[in-house]
Amino acid sequence: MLLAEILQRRFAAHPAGDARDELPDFWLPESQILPALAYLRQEREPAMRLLFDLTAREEETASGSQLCLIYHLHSLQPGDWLRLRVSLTGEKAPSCCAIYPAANWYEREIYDLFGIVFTRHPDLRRILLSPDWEGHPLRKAEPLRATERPPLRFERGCLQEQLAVYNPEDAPGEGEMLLNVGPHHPGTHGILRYRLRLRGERVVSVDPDIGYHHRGVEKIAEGHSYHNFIPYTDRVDYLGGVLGEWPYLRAVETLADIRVPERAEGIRTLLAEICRIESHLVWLGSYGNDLGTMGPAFYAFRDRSLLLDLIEDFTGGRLHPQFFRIGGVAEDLPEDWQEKLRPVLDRVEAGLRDTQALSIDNDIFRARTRGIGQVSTAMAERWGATSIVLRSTGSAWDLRKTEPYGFYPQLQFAVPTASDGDAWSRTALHLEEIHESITILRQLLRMMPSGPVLARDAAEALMPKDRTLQDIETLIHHFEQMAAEFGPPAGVALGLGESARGMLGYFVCSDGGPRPQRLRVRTGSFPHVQMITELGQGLAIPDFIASIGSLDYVLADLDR
Amino acid sequence: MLFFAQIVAMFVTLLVLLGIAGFLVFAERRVLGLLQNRLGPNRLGPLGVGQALADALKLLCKEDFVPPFASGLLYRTAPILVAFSALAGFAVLPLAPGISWAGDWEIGLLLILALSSLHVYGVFLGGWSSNNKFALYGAIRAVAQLISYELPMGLALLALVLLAGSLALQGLGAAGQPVPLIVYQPLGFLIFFIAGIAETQRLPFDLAEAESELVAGYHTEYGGMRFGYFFLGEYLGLVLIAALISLLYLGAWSGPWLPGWLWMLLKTGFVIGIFFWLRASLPRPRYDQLLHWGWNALLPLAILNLLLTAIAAALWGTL
Amino acid sequence: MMLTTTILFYVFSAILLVSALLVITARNPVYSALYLVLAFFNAAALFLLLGAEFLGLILILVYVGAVMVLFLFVVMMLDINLERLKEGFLRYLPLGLAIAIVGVLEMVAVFWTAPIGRVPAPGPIPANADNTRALGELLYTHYLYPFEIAAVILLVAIIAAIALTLRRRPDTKSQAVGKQVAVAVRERLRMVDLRGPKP
Repeated sequence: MLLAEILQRRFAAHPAGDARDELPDFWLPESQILPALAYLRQEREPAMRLLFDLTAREEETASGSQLCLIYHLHSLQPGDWLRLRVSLTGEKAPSCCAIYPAANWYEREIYDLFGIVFTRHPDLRRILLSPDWEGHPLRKAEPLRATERPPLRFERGCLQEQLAVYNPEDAPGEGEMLLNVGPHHPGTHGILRYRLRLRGERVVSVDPDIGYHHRGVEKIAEGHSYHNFIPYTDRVDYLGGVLGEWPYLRAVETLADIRVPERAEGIRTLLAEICRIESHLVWLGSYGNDLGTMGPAFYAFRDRSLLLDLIEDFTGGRLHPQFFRIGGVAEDLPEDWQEKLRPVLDRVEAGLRDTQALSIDNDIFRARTRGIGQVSTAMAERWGATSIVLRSTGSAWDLRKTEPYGFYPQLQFAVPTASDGDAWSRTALHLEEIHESITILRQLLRMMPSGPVLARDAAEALMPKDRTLQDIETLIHHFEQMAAEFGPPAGVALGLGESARGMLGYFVCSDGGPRPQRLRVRTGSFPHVQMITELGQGLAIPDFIASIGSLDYVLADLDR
Repeated sequence: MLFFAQIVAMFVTLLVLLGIAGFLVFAERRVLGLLQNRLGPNRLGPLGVGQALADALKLLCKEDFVPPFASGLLYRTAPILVAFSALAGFAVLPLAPGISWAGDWEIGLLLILALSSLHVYGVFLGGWSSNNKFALYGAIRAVAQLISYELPMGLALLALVLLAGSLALQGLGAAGQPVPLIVYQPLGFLIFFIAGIAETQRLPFDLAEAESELVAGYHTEYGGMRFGYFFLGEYLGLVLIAALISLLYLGAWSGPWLPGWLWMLLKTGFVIGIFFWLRASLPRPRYDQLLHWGWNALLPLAILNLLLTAIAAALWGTL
Repeated sequence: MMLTTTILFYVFSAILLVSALLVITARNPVYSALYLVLAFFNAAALFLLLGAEFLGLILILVYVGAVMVLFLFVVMMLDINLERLKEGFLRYLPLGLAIAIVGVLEMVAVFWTAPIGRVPAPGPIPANADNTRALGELLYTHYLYPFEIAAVILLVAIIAAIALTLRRRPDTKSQAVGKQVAVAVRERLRMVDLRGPKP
């Protein structure tokens, strides 16, 4: 029996009409959420093993505002996705933590940002905002800009009170010690606090306290035109460069039904792979620092700076190229791009030998990382881990292969996987992926298609600047675009991308207006950090640092 | 008058030693830069030498802060203990025959070992009195590490003493003439070298500070010149260990053409260079791996070394 | 010169006595241990004044450098509840007093039988005396058997201590370093040629 039939018969689902992507999309009645999820997770063949994302949306209807939950499920089979949507009658919903443990943080986030209370949730606290925050910012009634809110003030003397809220269960148990790793700690890779309960130097339980980096990207998106939001996507994962832009644009292009020209896809793929190498190199260097070795950082950053120079040459930006446009890319590559890229690839490849010798080939490094921070495939799926974390457990799954996009279908490359799921495997995978990316880039050197770099036929695609000065039609169109006069037709679409931090998904909802009605950013770091609550247990502090470092999360990616 | 002159000379020696420590901080940064294809500090003065002075000035000018939750007296004493224990060792260290402050004291080696046990107290008290969890972890690690590595170190030295028949540093240095003792004691040299790095708590054995895990370990709560004392202690300890290695194993002041004391300095500098190199390239083991290694590998090896040396000494006599 | 030695003797002795007293009166066990360290240092200084350099330094090396460090190590990690420790004070007081009295009596008896004045003054120390060598010769000839027996007893104690504390802890994650290190990249990594959905 087809999935659609089962859902419709057993769970009274009806297909949603406004999905503009190819995902099966169903509305479920509120009472059927848990049974349907339980069926999909436990009975269905193949099981929907990954709760890819869970988020909410507030829609204005004739009768007032209407909250709905949106579940994205994936079975880790190529193309087997499912989107479930549930309209809520009130501000309450059942928690699905028992079926998908990964839902824990997603539900906390929805509670935090939308005020939806999940019944039977094990630990319903605010997650991104501070515990004493008033209001739920993603509700439409909340102001769009921070300046419209009253200023945030702490009364003198009540700071202790405020701080006490952060430590509701500070009293450690008998023989235990509470240790704050962070928010300012060199091992956390940024402002993030792990509250560890320790017995001796062994971690009994971990409670990551996140949100220090929260900038409200999803709310910001609601105040920007589709095109204006592109620079923000670079900054969600500030190491990923264009890897963050791509999934967003895929979503918008799906909504607007734009076909990106071949050469633009080639250039996107080229830049994405350069950014992937660059991001992996940063991680290799900083992970060395976690283990107390200084060398890899400098060797990795040496090569990274070559790549950054290259990106600057091609796009004008370094960390944040902001180069992709709706319907293509901003500019064509410089004429001599091949001569520039080729020597850099050779040098990066040669430099990798140094980094490898200082990391995975080093005996002390091996002693520190082999068998440390082990993640099993089941555990990775339980927490929604993707990309390198998932591949390190032996599960061969790479979006660039399983659901190829961009120029990837034409390219030959292998997907490195490891068997142990430990920190060492993840390090080795980073190195191998750089090698594969270099292979991809070498192929692109030969295979880069020719043609335009921007889809000129689509209304939403940006008009080329040079032509606006030539003919009035283009100028008018350009003016309308810049004045945010129109957007893609109403509907929803999920844009996916294999980023360096995990699978990145932009879920964009359009109501036909010039700005997204709702934009959801599903990042890889969020589930990975959530996984630490299980991964960290039983580890000693040095192993804890080695384990969390190996997950390769970026704080801005985590908190958005 | 002679007494007064001696006091002045001692004072000058102290200043020179502090200067060397300051210079080493700079030199290390330059060498690390060289090894990691970057520049290191190169702005102030020729080659950036002024950086050493600037660092010292910065530390001296910083606010003298004692955290309200620290145990005041011990918190203040700890850095001084560390700096003192490293400095005092130089009193018995000869540069060449006759060039040494304490003359040829018959048990100079024991004094250095005793001082290194004092060093443990500085680290331990610094960590404990800071009243900070990370500092406490650092202190515990430091103590565990130092007592574990003092044993193989002492045993390696014992084999040397057995061979040379002297506890005096000059006597031990003289025993390395003309053939450096490393030839007779290759295993002992390795043991002493490894234990020496552990004693100075430098990477890869800097588990007591381990900044990625313990923020700054036992001196997390220290700043300004109090931190500077720990820093001085670390670098002076490094010089002391390097000088001991060159004195005991590398033939001390023997060498052609140049005067003896210069050879001694050159050898010490060479050993320090190796320490820098190790720091540039190795990760830090986990503390239980380190202890495991100390007790299960280094200690048995040191005992074996002592036994072999004793047998050899019984069969063929000592030097 | 004699005067300096005498002054130093009294200074060290005074500090020694005061710190010994503080060992038993200090409220914080860590401070107690530290006062004991101070006492050892002063005792070592007294040895040095007597010209017994080897004994002095060995005292520091063994007691300060090893024994007390271990003491502190343990004391530091114990969460000592002073109130609970004081609970049994009165109950154990009679026993403690009895032991103290016996100790005092013993000391009196020693002084009674050999008053200070009657101990023969030590002969002049020869110029090239090496007390390390002297001690060594005495220990390895005259006192060889007691020395060896003491060594064996210590060895037994070490083995016993290791045997008592050696236990496997099932709840901790641990690795075998040798196996960790001996692994090749190719054993663990697999390059997969993934196929996407059929077009």
